[in-house]
Amino acid sequence: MIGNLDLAMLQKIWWLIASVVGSLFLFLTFVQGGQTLLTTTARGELEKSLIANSIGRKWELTFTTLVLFGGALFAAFPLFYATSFGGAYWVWMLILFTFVGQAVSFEYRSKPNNLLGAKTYEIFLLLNGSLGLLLIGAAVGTFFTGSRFILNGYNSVAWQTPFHGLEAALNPFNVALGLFLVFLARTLGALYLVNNIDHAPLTERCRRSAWNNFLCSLPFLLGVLGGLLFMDGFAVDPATGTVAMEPYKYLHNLLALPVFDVLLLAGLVGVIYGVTSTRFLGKDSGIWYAGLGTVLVGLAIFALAGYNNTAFYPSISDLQSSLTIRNASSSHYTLTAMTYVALAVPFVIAYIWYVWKQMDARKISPTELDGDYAKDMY
Amino acid sequence: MSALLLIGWLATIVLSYYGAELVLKKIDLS
Amino acid sequence: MEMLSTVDWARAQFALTAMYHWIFVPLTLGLSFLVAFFESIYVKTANEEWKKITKFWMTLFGINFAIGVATGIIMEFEFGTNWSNYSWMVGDIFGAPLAVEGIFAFFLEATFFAVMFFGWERVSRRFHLFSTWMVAVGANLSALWILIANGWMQFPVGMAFNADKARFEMQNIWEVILSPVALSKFVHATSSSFIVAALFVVGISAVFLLQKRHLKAAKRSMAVAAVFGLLASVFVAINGDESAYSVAQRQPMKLAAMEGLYEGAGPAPLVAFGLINPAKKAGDSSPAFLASVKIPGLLSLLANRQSGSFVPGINDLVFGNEKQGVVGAEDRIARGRMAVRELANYKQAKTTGDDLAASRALTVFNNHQADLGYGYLQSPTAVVPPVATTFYSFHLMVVLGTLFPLFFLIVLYRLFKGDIEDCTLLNKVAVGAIFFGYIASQAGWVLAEVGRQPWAIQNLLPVGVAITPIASGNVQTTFFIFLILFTLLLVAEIGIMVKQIKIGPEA
Repeated sequence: MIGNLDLAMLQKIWWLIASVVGSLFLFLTFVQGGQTLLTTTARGELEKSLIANSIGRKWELTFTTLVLFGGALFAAFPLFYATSFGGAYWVWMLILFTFVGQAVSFEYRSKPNNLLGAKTYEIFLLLNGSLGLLLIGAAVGTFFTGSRFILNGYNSVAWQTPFHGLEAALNPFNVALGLFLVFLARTLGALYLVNNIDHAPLTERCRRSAWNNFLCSLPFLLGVLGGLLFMDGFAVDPATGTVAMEPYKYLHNLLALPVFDVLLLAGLVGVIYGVTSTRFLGKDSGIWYAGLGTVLVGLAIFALAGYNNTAFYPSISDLQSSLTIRNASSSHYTLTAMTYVALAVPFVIAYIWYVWKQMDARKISPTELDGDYAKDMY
Repeated sequence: MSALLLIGWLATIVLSYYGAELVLKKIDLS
Repeated sequence: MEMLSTVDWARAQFALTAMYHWIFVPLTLGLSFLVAFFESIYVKTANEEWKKITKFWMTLFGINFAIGVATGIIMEFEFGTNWSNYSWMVGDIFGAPLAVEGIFAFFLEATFFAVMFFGWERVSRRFHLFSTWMVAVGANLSALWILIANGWMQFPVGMAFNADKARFEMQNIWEVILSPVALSKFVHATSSSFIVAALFVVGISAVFLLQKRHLKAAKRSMAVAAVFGLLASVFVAINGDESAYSVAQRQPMKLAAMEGLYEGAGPAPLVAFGLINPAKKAGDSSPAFLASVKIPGLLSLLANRQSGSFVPGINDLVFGNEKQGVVGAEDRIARGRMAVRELANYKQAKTTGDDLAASRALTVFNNHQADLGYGYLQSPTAVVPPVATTFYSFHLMVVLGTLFPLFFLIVLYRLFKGDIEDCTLLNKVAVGAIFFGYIASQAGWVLAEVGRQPWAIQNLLPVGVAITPIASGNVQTTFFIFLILFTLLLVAEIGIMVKQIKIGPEA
């Protein structure tokens, strides 16, 4: 059955799969959110340790999802992988530097004989949660606002600015998306800490923090959604492949993809319920509603970018260099092979879910930090 | 040949574990 | 000062990031199994002493694992950032193993790592042991997919060139996954990593013996690690031979450089020890070695598994050797340039709609396609990799690889004799041996990757064409950022690890 899918269908499937991975990553950035909360919201070493040990047991899932996102894009849309990473060199390098710092920080932060000191690692975590996410948001923003590159006849990328992607930070839409991701991550982080930590002084503060960060994220979310509704977009003529600007393109996409409108609305409701139930109803399960909500909103945003004959990685220097799911993908053979591989994903999610359940069945408390396994703690 | 190499790889791991148990017993440190 | 080009900086950066990553990965690959062994013994014997041993090595494992991950993330993206032409040209084949690595291996590692370190009181003893094994399996599975990818670079199979898209497209994924080069690399890279980990455990245990503390734990650790190291060493010798044979058959220039063989010979001698003449160039009359110790006929046997057989030298491969049926780079470049030209003609004809010209160009192109990569080379000698680096890294690796099993045998012998805690010299050697493990391990990768130059994909894509077309200053800058960042983290890591060793297994 998989072997009989045509190329166009496979490309649509793989844009969906890439979007799912990307959206799961957005949910998992509760880790990054928690990292900034460690600096801004924790009071005292105990609370810092509680946060570090809580999100510290999940940080690798987020990291691995980002790595998978890169790998999946390489496998399914290699022209995007080459053009974006090779062209927007500096924006991706800076993002990666923040993740390099993050990767060692949980393990090294409180270990003795520390060359760099705990504070340095906390700054690494802060940078990853703030600058890292901001730049990721800005990079994703360019899916809608476009980038300055030209592809030659052999699809070799020539970036048109010496800033190699950093110029994305000059576009208010991109910055808004970036800041939205930062505040959303903090919101989700706070929700997760409420779910996973047993220490009232901290978790009560986190309930308020979830609400406050959610409120902070709203103007940026509205800016992004508003921008999407009114901005010109990059439309592809399905017959000729020619790319042209189309006023209200993303609004047209919203209207043409009613399934994703439902997902978008359901997602927003989920996030709102997750935050309000945690803040006002004393619930601990908010992370699940907000997390699922985040995934749904992410799916909708990615769908708006790539479906309905839209160039998902548009070029404003040369419209015809823009990337679409039609011209940037791998061969029929590779997409087919990868689709078979993707059948394993539900199995992977299943064991992740099982282990998550085992590990999070009991909340983290100060007694655990001082208990028999104190030496292992982050 | 590849199949033999993969079998050899697994054998290295498995034999190492049981070999280690044997050695530990022989030197009274099991 | 000569300005280094983008290609040079891109190569330097990839080498830097890969070598830093490879400082930490071998220990992860091998120590993950050793920790699984220790914990299996703990669960079997229910002896708390073994739990302490397990947890001690697990602590060191965790410290090493974190920086392994930190140095790894750039690698996933570096093909895109610095080798974008490569990524588009061969991504149809190369991207798939990387994605699969993420799905199958990384998630296994990442998920069960949390249980391994924080699940002692949250899951059953059996599930915890299972988790520890899953981390080892995940780590080694990850090595499998990366080596499938690298194996494909060395011996590209299962694909065809699409002239319309001017890129390679996968035709048969099983040929890629089951490539003999890929699988022999996998077993070689991982089993040699088992040696690195075994040397690490033996060496640090030796520190405890020298300091007369944690004697029982040290000897127990040594026993397990020495067995693992010895068996791995034997296997490495076997699969190393297979790897070298594979190189001789599929990458003859790499083999020639590995041996400093300029003039092909049959029977060909193996160079046991040699001092390469730094002034030697392909085609000149100077001697290849300043001094050497050779074993007659052995190279023919190892390279071709046929006594007396001809082994082509660098000069044969550059200039050709009609008598031996060796096509030289000179000829291949001429054919390659024709392929490049006709591909351009094909594209041009397609654009103007001239079907006749297009079909003519395509026919000529297809006839010369096998040498397409050569068409981008500047001169025949461009096919020669850095000989000295290739030669010395190979020989260093093999010499050390020959000594390691002897070392493990001696350790086991002294454990049986019951007097290893008094063998001061042996224990001091054991501490030093840790570093030789790392050196041999890096030498292997240096050989593999320097030896394949100028090719990013053997015969098909030279590195010069594979890069991201970006001003070299950018790459130079990121190079130095990585150098500083990774060095800082390495120093920090060593400090933290040394402290944990000083603390030792819990009293």
